[in-house]
Amino acid sequence: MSMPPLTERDEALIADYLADALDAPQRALVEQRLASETAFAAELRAQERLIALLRALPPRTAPRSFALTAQQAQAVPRALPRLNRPAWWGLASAAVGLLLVGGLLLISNQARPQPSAQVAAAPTQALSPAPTFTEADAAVMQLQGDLSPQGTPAPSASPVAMEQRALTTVQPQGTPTPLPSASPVPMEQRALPTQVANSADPGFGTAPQAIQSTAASMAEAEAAIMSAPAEEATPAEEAAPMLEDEGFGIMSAPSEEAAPALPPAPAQAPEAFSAGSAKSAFNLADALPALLEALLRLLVALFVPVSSSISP
Amino acid sequence: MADLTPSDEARLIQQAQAGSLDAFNALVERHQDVVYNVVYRMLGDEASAQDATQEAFISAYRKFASFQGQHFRAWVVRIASNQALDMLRRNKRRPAESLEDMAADGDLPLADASPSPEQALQSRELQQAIQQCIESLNPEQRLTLILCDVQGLSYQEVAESTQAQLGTVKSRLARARQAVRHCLQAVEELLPAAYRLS
Repeated sequence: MSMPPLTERDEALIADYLADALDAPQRALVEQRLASETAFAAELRAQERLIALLRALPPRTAPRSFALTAQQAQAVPRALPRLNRPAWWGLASAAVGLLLVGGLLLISNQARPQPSAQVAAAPTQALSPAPTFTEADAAVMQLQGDLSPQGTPAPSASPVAMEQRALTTVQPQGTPTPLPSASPVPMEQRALPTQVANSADPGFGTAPQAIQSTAASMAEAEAAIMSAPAEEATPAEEAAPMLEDEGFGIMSAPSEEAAPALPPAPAQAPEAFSAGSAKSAFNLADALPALLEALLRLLVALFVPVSSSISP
Repeated sequence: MADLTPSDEARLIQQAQAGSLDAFNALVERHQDVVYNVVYRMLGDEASAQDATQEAFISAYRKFASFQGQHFRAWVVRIASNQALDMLRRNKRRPAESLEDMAADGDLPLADASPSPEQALQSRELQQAIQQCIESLNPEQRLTLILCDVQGLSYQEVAESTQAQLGTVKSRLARARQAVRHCLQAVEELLPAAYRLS
């Protein structure tokens, strides 16, 4: 009767037996099997011989002393002793971090004009079909940023923000009429007449030409802004003419005929936003010292017990 | 130095952590053979082993303030083996190179105290074959086999030195032994009768 082949479990059992890592009952079981199973005993002998062979490798004595010289020791920057931090240290650190991040976010939100205020402040800028953001628009936005009198870039230069702003500003309150932008005519075709008008090329206007023509119109718009009565320009004020220009001068010239003439934006819209901005700045100035004080108190409360728990 | 008692070692550790370089060097002297052996078996050549050993002790000195009561030997072997593993990854050394180095060393101690030239040659070939088989293992298995079977560390010490679970140590060791046995069967004729594996 042939014995079943040894399993990995058997080999592991033998290894543990050789390492003297078995308890008394397991050891007795192994010895019983060694006496009765030749394959088990052969595996034990093979493992014993391998270990003996490896242990018989001549030890390598260190060829020299690896003790550090004083120079070596001085050159080594030694790590600081590890602090015996209590278990709540990680949680407290995370809480402080979150508080700091939250405070910064709060401050930045207060300091930044709210998009909704911008939309509310300029409700009548929906003068044109919803413009679709194209590469030409991006180029125009870039040019506008360059031409801006204060050198400030356009408030929202990202395509997504541009799209969103266009959509929100174009939606007139309660106006059920579909927007011309819903027309299936591609934007490139709708923009074509403008390009043709500004280009000597009777065919398709190239992108650089379109950019040049729009840059000219942008320059005019900027000149108009510059000649406006001197006021503290808020981001909304800067954005309003830009939107007008985008709507009429660049993208939707052919649609002007079809679009109903809409009244100009009310003059008080930018002022309303300016008031909102001032209020935000006032709140920030009020909140900042209190916030800093609270943070300071929290840090002191955290660090005093920790510093006392540092091991000597 | 090799006859330090555990309490002596604990005292040296305290002194070294307080900034005594002499105490630290006493610990170095005590454990440098083990560290060098492990690193040498891992890397397979003397020059690299010396570099790795020195780097390991410098690193240990740098981190010594953070050493907290584990076994010093396991701790320093862990640093040294990490050093060796880093070197292995960096160098991707060829086994043949190490064999040449070993032959060129000319200082391979032989197991037989008074060998004939023929026996000496055979013994050297056998050691080279074993070292080659060890180097054919993957780094983790190699380290486990060296620590457990060559250096004679316990499972627990190997687990501490390699920062692995006990079960991981056992399975790595089982696989390493299987691979080395398989490898050595190719040089069965070199093995003395007492060491024949099958």
